[in-house]
Amino acid sequence: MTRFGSPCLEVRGVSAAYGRRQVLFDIDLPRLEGGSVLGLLGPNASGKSTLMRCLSREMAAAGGSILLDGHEQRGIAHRQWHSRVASVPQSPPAPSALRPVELMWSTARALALPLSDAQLRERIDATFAALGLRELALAPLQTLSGGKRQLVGLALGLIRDPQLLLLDEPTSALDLHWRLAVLELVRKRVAEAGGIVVAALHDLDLAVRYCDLIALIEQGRLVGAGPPQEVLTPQVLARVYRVEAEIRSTPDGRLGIDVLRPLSDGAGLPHTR
Amino acid sequence: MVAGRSIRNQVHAGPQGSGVSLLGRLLRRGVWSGLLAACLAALPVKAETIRVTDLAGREVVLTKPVDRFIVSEGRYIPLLALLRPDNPVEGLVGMMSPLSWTEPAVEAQLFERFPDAREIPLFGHRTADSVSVEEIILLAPQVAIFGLSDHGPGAKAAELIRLLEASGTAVVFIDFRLDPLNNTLPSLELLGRILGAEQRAAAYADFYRERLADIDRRLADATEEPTVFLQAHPGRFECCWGMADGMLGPFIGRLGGRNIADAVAPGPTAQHTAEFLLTENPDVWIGSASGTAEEYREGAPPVALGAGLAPAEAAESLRRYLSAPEFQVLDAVRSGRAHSIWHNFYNSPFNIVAVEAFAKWLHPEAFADLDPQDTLERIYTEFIGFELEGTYLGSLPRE
Amino acid sequence: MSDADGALHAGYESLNRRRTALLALLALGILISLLLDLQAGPADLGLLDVLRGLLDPEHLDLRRQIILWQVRLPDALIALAVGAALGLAGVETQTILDNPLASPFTLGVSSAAVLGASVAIVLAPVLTPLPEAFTLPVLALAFALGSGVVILLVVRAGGAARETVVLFGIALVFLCNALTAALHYVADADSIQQIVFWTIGNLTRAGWTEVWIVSACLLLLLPFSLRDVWLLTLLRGGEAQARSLGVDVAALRTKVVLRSCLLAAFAVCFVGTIGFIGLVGPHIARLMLGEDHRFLVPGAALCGALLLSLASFLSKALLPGVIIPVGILTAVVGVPVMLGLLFQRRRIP
Repeated sequence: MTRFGSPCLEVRGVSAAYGRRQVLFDIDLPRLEGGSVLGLLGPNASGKSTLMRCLSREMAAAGGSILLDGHEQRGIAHRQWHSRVASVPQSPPAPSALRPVELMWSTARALALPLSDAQLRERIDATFAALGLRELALAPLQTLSGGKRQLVGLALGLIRDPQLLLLDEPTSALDLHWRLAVLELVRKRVAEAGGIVVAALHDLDLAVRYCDLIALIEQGRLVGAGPPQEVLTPQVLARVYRVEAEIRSTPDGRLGIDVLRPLSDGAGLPHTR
Repeated sequence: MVAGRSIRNQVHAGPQGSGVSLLGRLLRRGVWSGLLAACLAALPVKAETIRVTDLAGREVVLTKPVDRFIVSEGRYIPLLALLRPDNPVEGLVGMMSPLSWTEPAVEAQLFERFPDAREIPLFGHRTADSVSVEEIILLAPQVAIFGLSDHGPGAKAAELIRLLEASGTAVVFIDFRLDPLNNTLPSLELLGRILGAEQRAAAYADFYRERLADIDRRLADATEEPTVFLQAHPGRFECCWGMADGMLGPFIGRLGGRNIADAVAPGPTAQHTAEFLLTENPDVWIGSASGTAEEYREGAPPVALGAGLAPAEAAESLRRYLSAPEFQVLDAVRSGRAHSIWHNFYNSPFNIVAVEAFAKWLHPEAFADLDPQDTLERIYTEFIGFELEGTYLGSLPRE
Repeated sequence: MSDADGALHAGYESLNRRRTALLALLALGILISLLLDLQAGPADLGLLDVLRGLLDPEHLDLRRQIILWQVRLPDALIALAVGAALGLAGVETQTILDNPLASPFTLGVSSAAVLGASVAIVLAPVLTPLPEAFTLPVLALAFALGSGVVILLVVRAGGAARETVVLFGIALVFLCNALTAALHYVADADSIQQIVFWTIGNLTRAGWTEVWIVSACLLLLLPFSLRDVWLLTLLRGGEAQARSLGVDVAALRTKVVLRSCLLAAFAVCFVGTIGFIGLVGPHIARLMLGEDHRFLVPGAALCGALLLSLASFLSKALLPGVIIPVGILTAVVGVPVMLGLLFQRRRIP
């Protein structure tokens, strides 16, 4: 895998709207350097997906700026952007008679990746191997389970060896093994190649396990951004997720979150013991 | 060859003995010159190129004589019979629809007298779209005779015309349907020229003009302008299809009547409501009957005329149709001025019969002594050369 | 590369080779069907005569020359051109609308063409300086293209959402059918019969001019379709996937709709609305060739051409002495073939 220089992503004051309905208000994210994983958290309809779409350039931000390596997003050519930034959408590739390997080649061609056929073949093999898809590469997508298809979707993202990898709920359809395995893989890759990952996640546990930084969004506004232990406090969890939770430290120095029970409306702070 | 054969027979049956030698030589010379004369007579006439303008306004070049030709519909065979009574279908190598479609009785007579007529190939069914251009080309006709607007290919079948002309077939259009008042005689004369039967064509044309002139003279005496409804195919379709600007429609105006469909119909035929008919309440009702004898005997609704029907049956068929309440209230029906005419007069050179019938029905007093039935019989016996079988004109039976 | 990797790519290569072979097979099938089509007909022009007549026209007498070169050859070639156009338009429409039941006629093109033909037949307008024989195809084409323009405007205005396009196409179909029915009502029996005959579809009225026009349309638009094959393949992976790659789905949809409407309009304006080719041709191609549009797009065109050519041959050969309108046969030929392929439960290609 190629190594990047030192990519960095800056998100400053980004707002977004659908028509007249504004869904993101002035989002500032911490500056992300190569080798870091940012977890984007928040309840449903908080605006996570919208932010992901702005980052992936699927939609244009209404205000603010997104800078990759110091260059404004809108100043970078479309094809350039999409060969450096990979966005893996929430819905996996649709079931059809299409085969994963065909989809990989189509992606490579559509992006006009500057690689020879031999290099592409190698990369496809490696990506499939890493995700355990080698035996299924020639199987029609409609014969694959949702989870396997989600892995194919991830493979499509990884094929271009992106500087910035955007993952929208990458583990929703995966079983336990693959949930952990995928994030392990992503983490490892990031550590080796020095890229940046922004992952929108539902699972708090996974988030604190694999993410260096957390950004918590609620109703389009940033609640907090920074290391997990700073952002995820019981109070914040109670307010944003409306659950009673306990935070502790695990033996290996990570954060552990125990979600105890849902809170009924109106309750703010947890009961004192 | 017939002449040669008979001379030879005479020679063989001639005198015996020694005088044969000189007489024989003289006779033999006569035989040879006779044979030569006979052979010369059998030689084809020198080909003649003629230039004609057909009823579509097209200039067509033909070479006569025409030994092979096709017509679009079998209904033109009586016309051929008029022009060449000795062999109506000589040279006819194909047609789209058979004569039985319009005149089964005449076809039966035709097959009896000219058995070869059974073999004439058909290159289609009942519509212009069913025509197979390949078959026509292979029949190798010198001339293709189509009607401007009959059931066969019309003047708009440009591709077909182009292909036929490219393969050496001249295409000529005649017309007895679109504008029968003006096109009947020119079509007749054109066909006469093409088939080398100018005299026969002229004879009938004279007959036609004479009858027409007679009618025109008497029309001057006619005082009323009766309103008329001319209904097409009564009993076959929902009421009521009228004829207006085409087929038999124009005859009404020509004969001093007023066709109530003219004001409202856009083309040759249109559908009117029964209400329209009742409101207009025309003085005369004429139906163009297309029912056959079989249909009549089965009791089917279409008003019937044509082969196989006696006058009483024709009248009964008409009465049955007009006994419906919406017709019973019409003045025309109540006063007995309701008639039926054979539908196929709408596309026929013998439409003079329809002209006479209409004249008589529109102005009964002025044309009291006119006998269209007689005219029809004359046409069949004197001109077409076939027997007239069946009834072609009908009126409501006298109460 | 490890053994398993080698196997993967070897598998992929062999898949592609098989598909290329299938394309070649389709082309061969077309050649055979063309020859069958040329030797069928009421005239006694058999295969040997046809071959000799093609290579050395002077070999046949004038009349047979005319039959072969002016009647049979244009009819057979327009079957190929129209079939290919409908197949191509069909496969692109099906992909872009993600709807296996879509065909170029879904967008209302055929109904508009029927309306145009009805106007020409019933109202018989005179369009100087056009020669009268061209009035009908020109009006059918104009109405078909007009409906295409309407669809395009809707596509652009509505943000090119799939559902919008389909619904509007349906609405257009209903509108055109209603207007056509109104024309039928005021038409006389002759005209109605002409309209019905035209609607069913009929290859025999086409001459060389029509062949050149439809072929030119096909050959001009094919390169654009081929250029988009990668994008169309991506679209099969799902619209979300395609968008995440930066594919401008709206623009792609607009281009495809434009191409399909053009192809379908030119295809039907001369021969009438021959149904099923645009639906069944792409399906058969999909069953044979899979979803890789590098093969599927040309394959659908070839399948469409083959189907229509076979239907043209059968229309002459099935019942001796009778020419069955080709539109009736396309349903009879296409559907059982497709059902047969579906029920064979072969490996998905």
